[in-house]
Amino acid sequence: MRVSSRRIMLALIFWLICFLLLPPLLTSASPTQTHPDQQLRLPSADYLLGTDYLGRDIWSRLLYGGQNTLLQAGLSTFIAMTIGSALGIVSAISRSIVDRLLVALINAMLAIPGLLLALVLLTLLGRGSGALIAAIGITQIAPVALIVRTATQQVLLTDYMLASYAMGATSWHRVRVHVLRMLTPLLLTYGLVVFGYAIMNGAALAFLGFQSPGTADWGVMLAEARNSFRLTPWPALPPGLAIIVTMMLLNRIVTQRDKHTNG
Amino acid sequence: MLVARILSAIATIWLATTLAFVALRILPGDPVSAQAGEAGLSSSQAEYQRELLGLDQPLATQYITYWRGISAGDWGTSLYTGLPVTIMIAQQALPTFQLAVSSMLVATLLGFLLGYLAVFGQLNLIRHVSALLIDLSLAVPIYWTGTLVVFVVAFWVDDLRNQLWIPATVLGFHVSSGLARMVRTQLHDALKQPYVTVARSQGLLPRTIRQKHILQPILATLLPVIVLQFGYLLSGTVITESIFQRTGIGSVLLRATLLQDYPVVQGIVLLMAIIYTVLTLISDFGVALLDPRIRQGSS
Repeated sequence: MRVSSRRIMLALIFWLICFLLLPPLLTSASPTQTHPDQQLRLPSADYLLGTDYLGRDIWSRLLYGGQNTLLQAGLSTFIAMTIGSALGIVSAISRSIVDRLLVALINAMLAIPGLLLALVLLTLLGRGSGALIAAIGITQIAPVALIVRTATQQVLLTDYMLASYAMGATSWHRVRVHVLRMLTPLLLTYGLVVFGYAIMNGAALAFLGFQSPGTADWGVMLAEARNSFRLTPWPALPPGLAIIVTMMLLNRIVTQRDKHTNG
Repeated sequence: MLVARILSAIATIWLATTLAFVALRILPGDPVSAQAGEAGLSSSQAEYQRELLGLDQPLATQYITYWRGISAGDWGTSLYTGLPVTIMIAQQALPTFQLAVSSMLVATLLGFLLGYLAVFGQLNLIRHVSALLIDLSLAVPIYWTGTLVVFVVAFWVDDLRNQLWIPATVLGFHVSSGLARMVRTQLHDALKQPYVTVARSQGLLPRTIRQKHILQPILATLLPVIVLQFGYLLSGTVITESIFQRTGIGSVLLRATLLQDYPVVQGIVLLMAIIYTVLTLISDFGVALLDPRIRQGSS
């Protein structure tokens, strides 16, 4: 049963590459071209995974949908990790008043549960990919900042940080050389956690109608599958399974990395 | 300590509300222009709407008016239905409350059960199935499970809208993941504790050890996890109500967000932040009550 974490990591990278880079090689069909006479087909030689309620090729929509969903989640993760880490580190190395203000701000953001905060942001950002990326990225800033702040405080307490301080290193030097280096494994693990959240919540919000209709996107595909649900559940299966496989890989890696770092 | 903690909770709620207030006003595109675009209002009509809502006032004035209203029980008026936000919330509170409480019940029971069985299951099979279910509850999107359940159940149940336990079970299953994982980890850790070895060497029954030395000490650590899960559950009600076409605060919030009806969004978010913060507060005190180590450390 035990699979090495390196293998799962490779599997995840391979899985991501399939969706991010390879769609044009794996299919020649358009993800948005409708075929009114070919609605709701089951898998066949012409349509590898069948067609949806508008006669669009599900295999092609799955691939390009993955490209959209994963790319969006990646960008949200980037926003959350960069701003969150910056806030966390600044908070940890600052004098008490700045630290207190930042902690109050972080707590206030955490007081509104994840998806609800995203909904507040979407109220004015509107719909579409850009709005979703921003809303989900901003939502995850506070948890990242909190974790990075705690971790930075722990690094600051170590003897070598004291030594570095005694030798007259500037705070910027200490952050760049020591703190960031010590935090890298944590940031990587937590980055994967945030990436998972971003996929789940991004698809959830797309499912709820915050993505432009018709876009190739796993969440949109699931929402559209509801249109034909009385006739066949088939179109809901491929995007659902794709999300599950992605999440399983991510969760497995995070669990193993956690065990590794905690002993 | 008690007073300080309550004051900080109030400050957190105030700051969260202020953040939502500021965000809803400084972000590009105010609600009236968004509405005007859809309803085809002329620019003078839009101006009139803005004046009516007080959006032409300086931010500080709007902010004072807003808090004056909140303290007087006036949480604003929906831009679409024209109803006071408090009434819209009150009308829809019951179904969401029922859904939230029953899902929480399912999640807590299932979380304990799966976490416990994954460690202490009598058969290998039981342990593996529990572990798999825990993995799945975390990896499977709730909107997927929900959609499939609606499809399957529709054959037997005529009107899904009046069912409570079906959506509650789906939501509860997904919310249980965090608790189940925590129970599993804590049980594993507790097994390695020296006092458990001592208890075993004293010849205590395995069942006594489990109850007194393993389960009891971890209860306090689980309370904050349960509250954290409740935050996830509040988000989950939005999706669940949408899938099962239930009425409730979640579906009101979703509609308000899609229509950019910001007074409604703001009111519901304020309510959720209050509920969530109060629960966090209660769990902090609960932990102190349950765990003498923390109680003594703080006093």
